[in-house]
Amino acid sequence: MMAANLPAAQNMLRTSFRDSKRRRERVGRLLVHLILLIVGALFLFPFVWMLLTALKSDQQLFSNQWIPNPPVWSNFSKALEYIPFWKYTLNTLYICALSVAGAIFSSVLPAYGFARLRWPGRDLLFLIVLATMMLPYQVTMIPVYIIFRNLNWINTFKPLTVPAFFGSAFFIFLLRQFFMGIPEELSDAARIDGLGEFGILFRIILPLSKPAVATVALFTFMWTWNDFLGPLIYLSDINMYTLSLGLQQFQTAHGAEWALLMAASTVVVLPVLVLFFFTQKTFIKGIAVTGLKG
Amino acid sequence: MEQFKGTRFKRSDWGELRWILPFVLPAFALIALVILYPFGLAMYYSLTDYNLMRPLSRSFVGLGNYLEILRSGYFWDSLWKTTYFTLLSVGLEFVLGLWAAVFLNKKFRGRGFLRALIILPWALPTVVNGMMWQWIFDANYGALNGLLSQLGFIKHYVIWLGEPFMALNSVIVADVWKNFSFIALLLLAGLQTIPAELYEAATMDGASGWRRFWKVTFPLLKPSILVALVLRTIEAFKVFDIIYMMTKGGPADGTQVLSFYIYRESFQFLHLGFGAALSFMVSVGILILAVVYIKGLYTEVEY
Repeated sequence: MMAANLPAAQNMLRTSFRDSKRRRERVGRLLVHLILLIVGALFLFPFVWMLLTALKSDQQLFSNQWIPNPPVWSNFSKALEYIPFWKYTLNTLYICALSVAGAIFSSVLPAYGFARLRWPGRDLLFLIVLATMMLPYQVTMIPVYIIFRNLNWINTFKPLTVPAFFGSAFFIFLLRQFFMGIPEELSDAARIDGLGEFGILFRIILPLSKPAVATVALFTFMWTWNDFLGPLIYLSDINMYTLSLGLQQFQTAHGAEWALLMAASTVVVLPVLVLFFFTQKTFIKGIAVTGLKG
Repeated sequence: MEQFKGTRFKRSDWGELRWILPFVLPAFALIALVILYPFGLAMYYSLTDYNLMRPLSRSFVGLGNYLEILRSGYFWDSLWKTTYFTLLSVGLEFVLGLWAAVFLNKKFRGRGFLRALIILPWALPTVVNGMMWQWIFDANYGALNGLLSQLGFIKHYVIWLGEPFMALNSVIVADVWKNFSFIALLLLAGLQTIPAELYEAATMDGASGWRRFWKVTFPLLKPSILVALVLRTIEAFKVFDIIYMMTKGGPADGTQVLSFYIYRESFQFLHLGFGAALSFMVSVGILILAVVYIKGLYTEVEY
């Protein structure tokens, strides 16, 4: 009897042990989910609040009402008329497009030169480029401002777009790391086939470097779209404002048009969010493969 | 062209220069025109009393600007506030970002969606972020006071942005919310380069989750951590936009960080010489921070 019961008892013991373990795991998982839910809610809260504010009437705004009832959708159309919204969008897009084109164009060539060509003094020069990355822009901000002033470029888009065409050390670094990872044999084969360096760059290296180039484009777009100090210093004509600068007009001396401001902000944020939502995979890949990982 | 006659460059290589110059010249232009020339100019201006109100009558004052800065209480006050801002915001962003990155690197349903979601604060224009938080922190109608009082945490509404030290901390909250996602992004990218076999091996050896993190993840993630911390520290030390949007340096200069001080001196009072000298001091601070980080994190990697 004993002998027959022993395995059964062992079995029972084992299942009860497994049960308690499973239960503990379930409780643990529930706890993790709960924490995640709270953190996630806190994380999303500002977005939600922005959207809720955008849909409130003035009266709802200044009461302790969380959910706008009824939602005032007309805030959106009112917000877009309160400031010359589309004009500012065009200005911003113009600056962004030129900056992105400039950043890619001006960084690809030196990056290729540093990564795939051999020439005397290359490594020393690259070291200098790297060193300039450490230099904060504040140092050059004032002299650059004076230079642009002397060129009579104040209150034009030039100070905000032309610098992109001079390349940035950061992007040269980023692209160089990516280019170096492409097998040298590909270039050699192309050389044997009679392709010049430009041909190799544009027909072989660049098509293989889409994630890196996309990262450069996305970074530039983000920085330009969000830039505030640049337009603040260089643009004084109200018709030339960018979106980030123009949004300030909702804030007047006697308070702000909060609902309209939040409605306009939602519209400003939307394209960026959509862009990010669809490019995040390429973007993370671009960062992972390039030098950003160290 | 003399220098090109080195050992590596033979006569037959001369033809190659034709190919190389278009690639290299832009780099020279970058360094010379965009960095070195303004850098030299900045150094020169910092030694003058250049004032945009009277740009023609500028005179050389030697180290006068620097001495004035060191003697000014404003400077030390701004330096302290900038340091406080940088340490607290980057510290919090790092902890949150690392946590988020490790979590988002696990396999679970809806991961792709959460990954896209976490980038959103970083994608938000700083200007919008600043205004949004200003409204959240609004003393009378803001969401934070409403939430805290309805949950019973506070009895009286808190004036988040109206008191100097509280305002500085409130701005830090807004900055952390926006920028922790950048650190999460960089670290997530770094985590994806760590081979899964390493974890499997560690698990087979009986390492617990915590141990796996400290013995496998952390050492291999160090390069990414270094980049994230250096980039964020430099950014935080130059913080300007969010201060301008939320508090304009106030109240009572409570949030006057160094960048804001430079902006005010240079572009509002038009003391460009003084501003240039200030910029140099800030740059020195940033360089010191960068060197400290690189030293600290790199020496440990070697062991």
